Amino acid sequence: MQSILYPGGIPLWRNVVFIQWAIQIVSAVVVIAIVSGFIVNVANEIQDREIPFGFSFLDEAAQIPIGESVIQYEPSNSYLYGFTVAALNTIKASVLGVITATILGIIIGVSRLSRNWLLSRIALVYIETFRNIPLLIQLLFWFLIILELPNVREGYVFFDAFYLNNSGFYLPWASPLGGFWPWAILSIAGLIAAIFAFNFLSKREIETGQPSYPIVAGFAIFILVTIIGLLIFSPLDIVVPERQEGPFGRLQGGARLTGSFFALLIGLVVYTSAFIAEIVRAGIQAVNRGQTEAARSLGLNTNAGLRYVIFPQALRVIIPPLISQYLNLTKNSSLAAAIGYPDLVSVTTTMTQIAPAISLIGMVMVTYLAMSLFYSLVGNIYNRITRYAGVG
Amino acid sequence: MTTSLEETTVTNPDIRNIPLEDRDDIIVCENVFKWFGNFCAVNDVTMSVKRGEVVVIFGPSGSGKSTFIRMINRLEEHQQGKIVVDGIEMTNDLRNLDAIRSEVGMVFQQFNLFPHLSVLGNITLAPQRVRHLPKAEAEDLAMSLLERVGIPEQAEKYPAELSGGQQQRVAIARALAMQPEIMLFDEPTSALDPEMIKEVLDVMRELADTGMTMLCVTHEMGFAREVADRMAMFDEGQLVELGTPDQIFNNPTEDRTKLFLNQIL
Repeated sequence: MQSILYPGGIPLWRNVVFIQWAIQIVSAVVVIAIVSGFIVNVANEIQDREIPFGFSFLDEAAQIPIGESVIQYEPSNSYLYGFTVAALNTIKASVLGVITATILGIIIGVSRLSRNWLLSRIALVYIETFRNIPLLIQLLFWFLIILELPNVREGYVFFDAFYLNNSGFYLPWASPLGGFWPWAILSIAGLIAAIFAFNFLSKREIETGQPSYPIVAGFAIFILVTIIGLLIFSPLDIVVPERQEGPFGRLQGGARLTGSFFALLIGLVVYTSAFIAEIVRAGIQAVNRGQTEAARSLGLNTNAGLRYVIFPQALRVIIPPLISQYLNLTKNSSLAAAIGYPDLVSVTTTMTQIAPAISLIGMVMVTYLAMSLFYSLVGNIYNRITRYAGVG
Repeated sequence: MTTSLEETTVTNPDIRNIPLEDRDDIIVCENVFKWFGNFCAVNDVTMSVKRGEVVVIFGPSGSGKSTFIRMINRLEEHQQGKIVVDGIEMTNDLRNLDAIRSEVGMVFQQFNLFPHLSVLGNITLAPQRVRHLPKAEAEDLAMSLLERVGIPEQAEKYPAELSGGQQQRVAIARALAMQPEIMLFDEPTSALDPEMIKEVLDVMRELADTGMTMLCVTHEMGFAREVADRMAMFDEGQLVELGTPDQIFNNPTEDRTKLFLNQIL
């Protein structure tokens, strides 16, 4: 008795090791109890109140219209296929939004730090305006602006190729012809050659000290090969939107970004880029001023100082919150439902009128979770690659 | 291809045998002013430094001594007066500024090593990117400099893995790798633990012996007495007194110098 309550001469209630173990065990029991209670309760409710649940509906015809889709869709397609179409719409908005918002955010963030007073003020006003107005309001704003545009017949035309009107934004698009695959393969070969040349010339520049212009050479090779391929294989049929004959003046050919999607993309990009700009600014400012001074006192000019000293350090600060903005953008794209873009939430909400809601919402949650985890994974991999000794 | 120490650093010990008055001026400052807002940080400073001379600059905090040496390589801009470094006048001409910066090395109180680069990377960055030295040559140069400051075995480590004294010695090697004519030291030992001060001062002493022109802002009066050719006392932005260590320590003419030396010695 004595030895169990007093191991090593310390009473149990004062023994740090025992206390830590006890807390772990007690909290594990509590968590398991709550979670299993919840699951049992839900299962019972579903059974007792005959709430539909299950996934057998996925094979049935969805019978709902989806306004636009990346892949071909008919209402007679199955629920699972409809769900995939909606998920692809969300992914399309997310990926395009992430890329555009990153580019815009970096430009604005760097402008914010510019010594040019006017530029830095414009960036400040942009940031403070767009990150402080709720996104839903902004989406409605852009959507209403597009709705108020002139109709197809009277809308704006740029360079006889781009059309902006209340049914969306029309732009030239290329569709593949017979020579597409040979051209694609040649272009990929050109890209590989360009990367190879870039690596070779970078290495040469470092080994010999002679300026070897690896970036210029890489781009030149890739662009040259691609253009030569275009001339040889004529792989793409570039279709410019054209006005049809007739009273409505409809546009045909090319690609169309619907008003909903266009408004969603602008809203997400403008809103998120304001946050990204702040992250970029903070990241650059987080690098100690002494680093710039050291670079300058070694004779590195501004560009070289930014490239070799400031950016590598700033990126480490920027990447984690940047990834978190990507997640936000992806999740925020669910507000698309408010302006009629058939994203995952909008489409599945329609589906729940017939299909079991709990199952669908569960699938939606898992899909968003998967997308978010994917972005996180990419960010974590980047962080691991760029980690250096002695710090974090 | 190996590079010997003589080639890699400006070593001109013979110049120490030429009397100061027979050497040419490498730095000339005439009536230099600098304001931060309404505060006059450097107030009408006129002084020149001879080639191969070691000048220790001291004085109370906020006296403008750091600002003054930071103007020698244009980390701070002077707003009035004239600064000429090795025959090149400091103007807004970018070409002059780049020429001066690569001739003047600087060592900071907080080391300012690049944390994302190894010790070797820190030292080879500027020679490779500014002087376009081949990698192998730059690395040979870096290794010979690391040997000179006594830590060749740390070449592959990162700054955060080194002690303060070691970091400062890497910083000195990094500045020397650009083969400067002039070295500026801005309180190089102030951020160091006492036991590490000596290792840094030893490197600086050795550097002075090679004939390097050095401007050191420091409170290490033992170092000043032993190494400095002249000492400059700054107070409230003004150059109060300039003289040999002997004059400054034994016969200071200005009351402010006497007062300050009494406080710190």
